[in-house]
Amino acid sequence: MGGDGSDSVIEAETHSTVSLIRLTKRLAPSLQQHRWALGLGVILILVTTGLEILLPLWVGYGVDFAVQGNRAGLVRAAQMFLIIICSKALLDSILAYTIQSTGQRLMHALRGQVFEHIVRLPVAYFDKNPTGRLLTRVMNDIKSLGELFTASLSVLILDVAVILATIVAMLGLDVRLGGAILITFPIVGWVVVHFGELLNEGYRKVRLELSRMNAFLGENIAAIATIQRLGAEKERDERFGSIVNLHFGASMESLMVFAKVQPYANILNGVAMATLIGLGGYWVVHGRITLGVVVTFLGYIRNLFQPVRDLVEKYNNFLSARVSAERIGVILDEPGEDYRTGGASRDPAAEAVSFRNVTFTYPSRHAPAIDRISFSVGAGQSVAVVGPTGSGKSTLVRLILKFYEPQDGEILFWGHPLKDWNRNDLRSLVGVVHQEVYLVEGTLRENLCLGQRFDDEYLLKCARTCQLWEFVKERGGLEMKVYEGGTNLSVGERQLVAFTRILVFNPEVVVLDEATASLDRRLEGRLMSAVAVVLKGRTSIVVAHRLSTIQSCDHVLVMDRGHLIQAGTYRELAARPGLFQEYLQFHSAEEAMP
Amino acid sequence: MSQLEKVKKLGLFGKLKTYPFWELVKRHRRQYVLGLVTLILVDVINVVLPLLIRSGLDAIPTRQMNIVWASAAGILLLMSGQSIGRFMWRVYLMGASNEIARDLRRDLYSHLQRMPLKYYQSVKTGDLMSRATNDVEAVRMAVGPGILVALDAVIMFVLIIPVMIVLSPRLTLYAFAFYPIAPFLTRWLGGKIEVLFDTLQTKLSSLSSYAQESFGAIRLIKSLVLESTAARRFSELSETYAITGERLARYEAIFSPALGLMTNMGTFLILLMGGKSVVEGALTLGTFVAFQRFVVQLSWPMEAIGWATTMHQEGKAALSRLRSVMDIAPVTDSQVKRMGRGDHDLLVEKLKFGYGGQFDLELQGLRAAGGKKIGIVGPVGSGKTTLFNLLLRLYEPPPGAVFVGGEDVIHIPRAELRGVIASVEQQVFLFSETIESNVSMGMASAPSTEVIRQFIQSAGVWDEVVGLNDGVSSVLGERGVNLSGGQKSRLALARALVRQSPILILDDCFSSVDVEVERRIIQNLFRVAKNTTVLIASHRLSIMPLVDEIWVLDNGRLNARGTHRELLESNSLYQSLWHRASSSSRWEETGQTL
Repeated sequence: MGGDGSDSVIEAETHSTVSLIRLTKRLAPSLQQHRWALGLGVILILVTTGLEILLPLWVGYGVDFAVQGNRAGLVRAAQMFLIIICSKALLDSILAYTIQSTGQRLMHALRGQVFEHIVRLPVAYFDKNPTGRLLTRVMNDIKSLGELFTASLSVLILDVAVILATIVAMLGLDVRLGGAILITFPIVGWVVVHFGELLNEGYRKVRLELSRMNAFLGENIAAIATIQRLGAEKERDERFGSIVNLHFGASMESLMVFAKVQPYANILNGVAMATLIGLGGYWVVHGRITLGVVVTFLGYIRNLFQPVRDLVEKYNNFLSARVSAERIGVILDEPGEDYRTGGASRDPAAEAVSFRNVTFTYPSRHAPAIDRISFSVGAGQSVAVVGPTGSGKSTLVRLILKFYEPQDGEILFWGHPLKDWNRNDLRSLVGVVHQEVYLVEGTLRENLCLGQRFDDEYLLKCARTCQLWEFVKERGGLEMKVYEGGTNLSVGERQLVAFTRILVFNPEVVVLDEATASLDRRLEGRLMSAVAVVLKGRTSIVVAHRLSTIQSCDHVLVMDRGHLIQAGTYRELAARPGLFQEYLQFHSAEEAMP
Repeated sequence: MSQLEKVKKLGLFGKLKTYPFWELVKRHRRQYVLGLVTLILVDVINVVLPLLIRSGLDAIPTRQMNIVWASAAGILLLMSGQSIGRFMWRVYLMGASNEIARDLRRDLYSHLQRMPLKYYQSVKTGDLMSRATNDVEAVRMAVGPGILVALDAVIMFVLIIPVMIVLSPRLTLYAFAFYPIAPFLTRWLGGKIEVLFDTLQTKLSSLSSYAQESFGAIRLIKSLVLESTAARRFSELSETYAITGERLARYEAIFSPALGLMTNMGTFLILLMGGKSVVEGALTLGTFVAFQRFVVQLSWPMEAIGWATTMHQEGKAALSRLRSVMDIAPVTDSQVKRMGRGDHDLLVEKLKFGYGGQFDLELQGLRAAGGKKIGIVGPVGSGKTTLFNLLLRLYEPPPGAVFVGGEDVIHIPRAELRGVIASVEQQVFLFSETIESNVSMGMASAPSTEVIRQFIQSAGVWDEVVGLNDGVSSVLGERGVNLSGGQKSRLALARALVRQSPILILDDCFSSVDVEVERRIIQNLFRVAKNTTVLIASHRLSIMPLVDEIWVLDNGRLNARGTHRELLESNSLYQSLWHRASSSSRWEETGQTL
């Protein structure tokens, strides 16, 4: 219902930190590969942290020298400061690049892994999951994991390292002053965790409301004609208004949480500063510490409190990245199609395809798509399958290709049950031409060879036989550039490419699945002769095709609502009253239409 | 006021008016003004704090502990006050931006609903959704964080620089000695980053569309055994994306550390030169420390300006995309007239309609008097649906062409017209809401459940509805109940019937039910809706013997009119349509996917 809306259907969010750990394990090989970069990152973080601690220290020394009137000491301190800031800038730069590039590499590896896993999932999985959702996994979820690594996790680690080192430095420099200032600091830890979690919860609500809003828009924009017809514009306005309001409310809630972090951080910072100036000043007056220590501590307090707001946000990012990790984990856990087992090979004496009492029901449906079907196609024979929409013709093809397993009965392919066949072997032996033609971006040669090697002469011969050649010879021949999805070829030309492919690969069995249902009138004659060339002498199954093709087939099977209701030669069936006669009648009437 | 002042004032005001978001911001000016005031207060405190530190530190050498304690107390007090301010500006400014986003979304959707149907033929649902979500979000970022960051940066500079100059003009010069590098850095790196960022987006979208196409064509990929090839291609695209990302990272990794170094160089010069002044006694230590803090405080606005510019630019582009949608004139009902006569006869008088200079539809002198049942037949593309859309003013008919109850439909407000003419569309659309709200959708006063039940019964789908777990409260759609095509079209019929409109249009909506069922539904309909004028199109002619008169359309012209009997005898087009239809239309090739 409302096709466009279905992709944006709201998904439940589950998350646990375990999912991140499991995903890290899955990434182990890539992590291993980038161990030097990762190691460099860790070292750089440690060194940068050290520099962060040294910086205020040298300012403090400078102050002490200045107060003492030690000009040479001051210049030395300033020189040290200069060296530190220059090396820090350099290291910051290297660190940023290391993290970003390693992040890109890791995400590239994970993205490839997830994509490859998805294309190897069974067809039934694609029936259940809309394309939009799978796309979100491959693109958005991996992107947010990448951002977790590059923007959040690295900053989080660096911030935490600086905070810890600063605490150590403060206590090391002066235990009493450091202790007095740090006494309230544990509250900061609580603020980060508490508000980080609140914020995570708030953002989760915002995302949920956003996906509700998207689902509503997807459905209702697609249904605009219906809405206008029903005069429902006002009512829809109100409904959308209430959805938008919920989203607004959730956004405001998150905003309030984030806004509340500020006062906490600021007041704690104020307490620390006041303690430093008051108590520090008192101790300087009494000669227990130098002014330089107070100035150094000014810098350290900055180190402690400046990242608080950042930490809350990064901690929240870390929490919400678990959702993406979990979702990716769920996909990677999904068992893929089995490409390993099965080693059956063709028994030339056996029948090519044979269905024995096969019943199959799609997982989402109740009624069987095909019900106790038996037939066989001998080697070299051609069989046409006709029947109204929904009769189960295309299901036959899907079962032969092992897209689904029948619940009952058995399908034999060249003498062996399908389960004994390796999927790839099986599919390589069956050449399917469908109404849509799968073309990849690249040259025509690449599209004909599909990753295998054939010599040019052979390819040329096939292209000529299918009459494809004359359409492409002026456009670069075998080197002709084919755009993504074949958009620079007409529908008919794409079909000619598909037929040529059959000749090139010369499969044992050819299946035409409504291959020329959408006809390119200009090319009709050529296409029909290409069909004849392709079918000639081959074992073939032809689904719902033109009358002339069906006429040339050895056998005709007539299907209706999952049942095989008529079978015989064209002549026999044409002479008998029944569904096939209706079919002939319809088609001759169709051709007589003005 | 001098002439010059006038010009200046006008200039500033004029500038404000050219600010792209002025119209949006203006509506929330109270919040913006309050936000601005609190922001200024917060920043003033930011400037005062280093001065308090200064007075505290300068009191130490003279052992004036009361000043030290007072400074400490002042710091605590001001920072506490500042924390309230920080909470408030966030709530004011960000709250306003959330409200702006909410209002924009509501206005946009409301506007979209009132666009002529023709508009939807030229746009994609996904694009419109992106306007309502991504573009609105970009505008929100510009009028929220974007404005905030820009204001904050400007206020900080305006407040801090005069204070620095008063404290020490010489040190001020040192502090900004390296600032002239910033524009060069921004221009050089900023330009490169922008270009690479655009490239990255392009790579990302080609990666994304490759994944989408592959998932969509998964069955074709599997039947050609191309899983590995597809994965390799994806990996290649992913790699070029990652490489661009790495190149971008290279420049980004320079940018931020370079800006940081620039600020730190200021600190270095102050440490060296300021320290010397302290040694010479020309500068107090407090001033020296305060200066350092000012320089550090200015490092944030420096970085923020780049960030704010990006948000502003992206928001501006998004707003102009939104404008281009909002500027398209919606349909309007200017002439508000009530229908003159009491009857609801329908008359098509000299109707010429078409796009691009030619008339796709040319009809005249067709009348459907109250209670008549009219059948409309014709081959695909003969103009049946166009005629219905014109009657409903989904397309705007020319004046003097279509009349209802003696009134030209273009003078009847759409809402009223669509209250008089109920309709069921060819592609029935139901919403993923409850059955009850689907049926009563758009009605001024919601009918009682009893009334809804009665009309669901008339439409012949009650038994199925009762069979659902929640009856009429069952939610339809992906996560609710999925109905068959036939059930959907009968619910849509109930939705039309419950309006009890004097005219009912059925546009070939029962193609997914059996011929017999369709006949029963129509028979029953004619019985319960005796006084309703019904216009019914069906490409299956089996129900035509039931109607009072049939209009045969061909190529947008009236080919013939009469009863079934008359036409079957005299009209060749009707005869051929009848023969074709009686051979069962289940044979039509639909070209479903593999």
